Amino acid sequence: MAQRRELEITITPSGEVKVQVKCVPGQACVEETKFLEEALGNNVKDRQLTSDYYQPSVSNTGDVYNRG
Amino acid sequence: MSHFTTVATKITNIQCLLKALDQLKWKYTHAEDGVTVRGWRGQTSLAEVSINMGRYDIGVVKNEDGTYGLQADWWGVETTFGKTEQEVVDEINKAYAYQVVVAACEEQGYRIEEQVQGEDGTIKLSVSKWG
Repeated sequence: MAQRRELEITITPSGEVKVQVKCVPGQACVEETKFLEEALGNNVKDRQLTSDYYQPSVSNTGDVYNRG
Repeated sequence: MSHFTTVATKITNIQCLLKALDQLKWKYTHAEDGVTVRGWRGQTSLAEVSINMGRYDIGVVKNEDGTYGLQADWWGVETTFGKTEQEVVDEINKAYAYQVVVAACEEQGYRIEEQVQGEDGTIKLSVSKWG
């Protein structure tokens, strides 16, 4: 079944990129930031699950730093 | 489910970098076999892209790992163009990140629903797709 996928992307004045995925439980939302991570250099410094892991309605945030 | 990802972004896509320079309205020359970069007292070097900052140029040089770096006489750029190395790097990184994000989202079938630029220059993009 088709689902609506939404990303909120913030690019700061210094080129830092933050990605937030709006998703529902059960959706593979971690995967949804990967294409951006790869496009921005795929140099993941840190990845962590947060305490809202088990909450019913949550979001997925990826911080992507663009520090040439 | 939620997770935090931290990525130190590298400039790897020369086409997105050229679009970023267009966006900044900075003039440049580009050739894979090298263009001249003007430095202090008429000294020159070669780079894949040479960004014209007036009296001095900024060279975009490919590193051994395939990423791109910036080379310049930063003191010369600052005193003649009025921007520090950090300011130039930040502006290029921001414009590059924007071009990469837009290109990557389009490639993945995301549509840009909204784009807002804050007073401090922060860009917020809302994108979505069905899939």
